Amino acid sequence: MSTVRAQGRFHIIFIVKYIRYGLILCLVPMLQALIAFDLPSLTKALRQDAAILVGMALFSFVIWRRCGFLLTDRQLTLRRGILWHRQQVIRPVQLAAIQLDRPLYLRLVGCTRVRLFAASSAAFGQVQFFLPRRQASVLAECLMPVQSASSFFAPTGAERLRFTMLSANLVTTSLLVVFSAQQTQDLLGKNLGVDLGSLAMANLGRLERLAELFLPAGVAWLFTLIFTLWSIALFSSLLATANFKVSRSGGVILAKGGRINLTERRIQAAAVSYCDIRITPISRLLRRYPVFLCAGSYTGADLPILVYGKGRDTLLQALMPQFIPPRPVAGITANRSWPQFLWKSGALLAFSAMLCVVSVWQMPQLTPLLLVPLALCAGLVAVSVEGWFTEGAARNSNGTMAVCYTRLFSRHQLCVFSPNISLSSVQTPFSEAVGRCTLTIYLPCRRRIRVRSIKKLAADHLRLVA
Amino acid sequence: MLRFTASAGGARVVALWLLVPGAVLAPFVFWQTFWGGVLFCAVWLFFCAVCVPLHLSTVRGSVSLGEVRLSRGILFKSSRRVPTRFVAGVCRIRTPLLALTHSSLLIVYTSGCVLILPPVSDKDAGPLIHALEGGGL
Repeated sequence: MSTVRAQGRFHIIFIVKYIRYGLILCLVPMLQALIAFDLPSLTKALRQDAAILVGMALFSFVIWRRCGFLLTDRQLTLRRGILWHRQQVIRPVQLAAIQLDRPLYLRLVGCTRVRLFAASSAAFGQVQFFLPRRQASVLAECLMPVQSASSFFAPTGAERLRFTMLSANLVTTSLLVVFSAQQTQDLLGKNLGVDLGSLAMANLGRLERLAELFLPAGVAWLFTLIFTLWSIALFSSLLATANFKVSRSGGVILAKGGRINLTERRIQAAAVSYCDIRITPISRLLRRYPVFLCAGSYTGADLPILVYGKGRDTLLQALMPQFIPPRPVAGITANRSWPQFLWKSGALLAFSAMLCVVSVWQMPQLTPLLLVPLALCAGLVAVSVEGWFTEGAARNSNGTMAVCYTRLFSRHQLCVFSPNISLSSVQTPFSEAVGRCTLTIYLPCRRRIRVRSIKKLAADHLRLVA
Repeated sequence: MLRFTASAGGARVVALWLLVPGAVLAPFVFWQTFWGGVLFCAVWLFFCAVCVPLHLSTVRGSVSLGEVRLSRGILFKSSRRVPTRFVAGVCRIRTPLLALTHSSLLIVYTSGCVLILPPVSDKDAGPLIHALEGGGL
């Protein structure tokens, strides 16, 4: 007989998703009014929009009333749908990770976003719903209990600074900044949005004039833009990594932290597919490497779980006892294909170099600006050359698998814990002639890792069952 | 060790199945230009009548030591290795045409990937399913 631990409806914020769909629907009558471009059409469109919004609000309210959850000490049952009821039963053994997010806008209404990640794709991929704060913590405690978690990674001082710098993601932040700038302009209206935009540009202009003291004009703008985005990325990373603590209680890894947006992750250690030590350009400078854990459908790519450095194997072994420090796995590099590693970065480098040559000849004032992509492409080529020397896969003595591969500016050194892997190798006529192949490792939840140009014989003899 | 290859009858049925998307697309190409449609039909027919049976004739599979091995390809050779202990399910497809040729198509599901085996003869399909479901060879 199972005991009911919690039950009820999802948090009312659940209906926001459906109202958002309504807002998109509202665009249809507005489009018609825009084509007709007169006052009666606008009035009619506004009436239709109001009807759509009221309809969607009623519809989402009915959905909210009909949906709910039931948590017992054995399983979680999610109930959804209006006419066709769908019941989803999730047992603790099927779970790889639970993530509880409390961004500021959810904290204001006492809500938590719950994300459940499956250990294998046979069960479900990823489920997301909103619950009141207390019920969310009961759910996490029931599905993945943490008894006495003693913290073994809580970065402070210089370590905190390194962790913040390694967690900052310039690309993601840039996309977020562009997206939120567009959203702000849409919300505030065009006039106010343009005013704010010009204010921001004036401030950036001042920074650019400062940079012009030691850089040419075009490069100064690029420098200013990267500096601004990097500052925003660092600031968001600083908030995300505040009070960050990692602990392990029995079979559960607990990582929690954040200043404004609070995040708590519970990862089932038995479900961890691999740990990824990512060697990025920043981490090379700092000599500390971020470690990411992947468990089933959970990737946790937004925030590393800890920072790894030379001689700090014990820290990672405390987290994952099966962890084996990264070792060279490339094997013999003779007959390895250079074009396979260098064709993308080499083509980009050649293109950038060609642009530089043309600019020296036709527009010398643009040359300093074009040296920036040239330097970036040279970096890509350097990482590709490193990949030529280091990419490979091999079994460790304890049955785990060591994999090394490079993508863009990063080198990934993986320790694959999951025994549930399958392999695929592909040979082109060229690679067949030299006895090499491209190996793809399939992990639970359709995750794939591709290792280029490894010995076909080694791939065939790679032990599949540890 | 249990070895298996694609049955000739099954390969012909798969080639016939692949004619269907070509038949759906052909009117649209004919709509553009008559000779383009003729060329498209000729290329598609060649693909289904020659390339597909030729490709399927290169398939070599085996189940041994707790893993399924499958290799295929003429120009681009590929091979797959899947551990049998993590096979989540096997789906056996038998259409009327496949039944006529005494063949079955097997789809092997694992949590990481889906492996589509070539159409094998009914004689091989039974022991193969038994081995994939964890039974002895």
